[in-house]
Amino acid sequence: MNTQITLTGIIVFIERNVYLRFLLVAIVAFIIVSIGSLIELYIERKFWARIMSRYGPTEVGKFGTLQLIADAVKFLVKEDFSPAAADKTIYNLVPVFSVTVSFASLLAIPFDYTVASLFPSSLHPLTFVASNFDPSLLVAFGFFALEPLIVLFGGWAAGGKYTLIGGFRSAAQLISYEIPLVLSFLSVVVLAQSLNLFQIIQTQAHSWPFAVLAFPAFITFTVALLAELERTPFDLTEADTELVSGWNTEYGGTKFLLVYLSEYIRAFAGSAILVSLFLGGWLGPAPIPPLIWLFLKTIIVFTVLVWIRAAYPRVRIDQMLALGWRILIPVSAVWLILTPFVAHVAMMHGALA
Amino acid sequence: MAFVENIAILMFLFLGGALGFAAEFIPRLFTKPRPTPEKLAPFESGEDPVGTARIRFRIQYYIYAVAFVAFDIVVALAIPWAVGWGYVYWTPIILLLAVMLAVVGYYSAKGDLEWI
Repeated sequence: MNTQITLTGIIVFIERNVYLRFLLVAIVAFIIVSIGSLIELYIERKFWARIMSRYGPTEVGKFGTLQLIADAVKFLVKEDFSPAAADKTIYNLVPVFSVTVSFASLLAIPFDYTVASLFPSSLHPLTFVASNFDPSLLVAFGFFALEPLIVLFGGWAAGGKYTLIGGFRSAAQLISYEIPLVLSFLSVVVLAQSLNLFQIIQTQAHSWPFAVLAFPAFITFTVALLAELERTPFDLTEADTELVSGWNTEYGGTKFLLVYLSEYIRAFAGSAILVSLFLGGWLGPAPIPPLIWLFLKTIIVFTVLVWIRAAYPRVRIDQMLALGWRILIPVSAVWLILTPFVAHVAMMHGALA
Repeated sequence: MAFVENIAILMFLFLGGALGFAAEFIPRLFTKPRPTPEKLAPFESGEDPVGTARIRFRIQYYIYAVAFVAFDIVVALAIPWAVGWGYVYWTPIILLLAVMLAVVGYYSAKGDLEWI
């Protein structure tokens, strides 16, 4: 009897069981997003500091790299308490919901395919990949768009005035920018004629990047994404000078850690969706593995978001809402109707397959 | 969408939920809560909190929420057209988006989108 356990044997066993297979996919996505969030946090502190002629963290570890670990340990060992005025059940469950929903929006991003193509002999891309199904973009966006509910619940349940105002501001901002966000990604859907993020990337292998073919949509999507991620110049929901920290003011310890983590997971997922929709996802000219391309592009997009954060002041709430309703919605709606004509012309000239 | 993808969604939700739950509730076993009235009070810049947090808030949030619900349905109806624009008539979706833009224009002109 052969009882030898080999790596290939384990992988074959996992691949035969659909539950284990997709759990493995989820674990792979979790590892990637954890590394991504750590890099994001480091860029956020160090790059932002350098733009402002500061040093950022320097003391813990070489170039302050271990600062994040020190912060995480501090959050984990802090005392846990709920404010007396809080609705305890909802208040304590909101961080868990927030991180779950943010993590689930990573489902559609083809990290699993890029990892599978690193191991062509053992992991079969067609069976291992979970992200290649038809309305994957819609599913990811559905999870992405649950954030206003979580923000409202969190702001209401924490029982502070700042959190309540921050929660309402967040919800108003998130719902105002959801319409331009959907209208802009729909012009990419028009070009690729698919709601599958996997196929949208594959279409770009034989065409110009959609950032060129749908340039106005690229701009409106980027602005709307900035607002959806609640990053400066649209960070009025966390405006430190007015609202302390917005809807998550009353959270501390591990609860704040989870809220903070889910914010960066959302930033990672949002940048990866932007890269997949407009910048060709895992495609790249040099013989670098697709995983590195997708990861690198995502991090570069995030770095640009940090750059925008360092360069622009915060807008006022009336300016923010006016930009969303009066400029982004009309521009993205008109461009959506024009996109089929662009697609037609591009197909005639071989710029679109 | 086949049944298999539902398993993938469930696995992502399960892993995210399990890790979140573990990260929030396991450290509680090792920390001892020592509540004081000051610690449990809501943060109001160091002052004693005035009244409850269930304050009145702007009615304008409501106007934006209603506008969002109406327009989001229009946008949701545009999704099938965006996938199959080569096979369906364009008139309905152009009319819908035109109506949406007209309503945004009317809202703007009337001043309901102004933040007072």
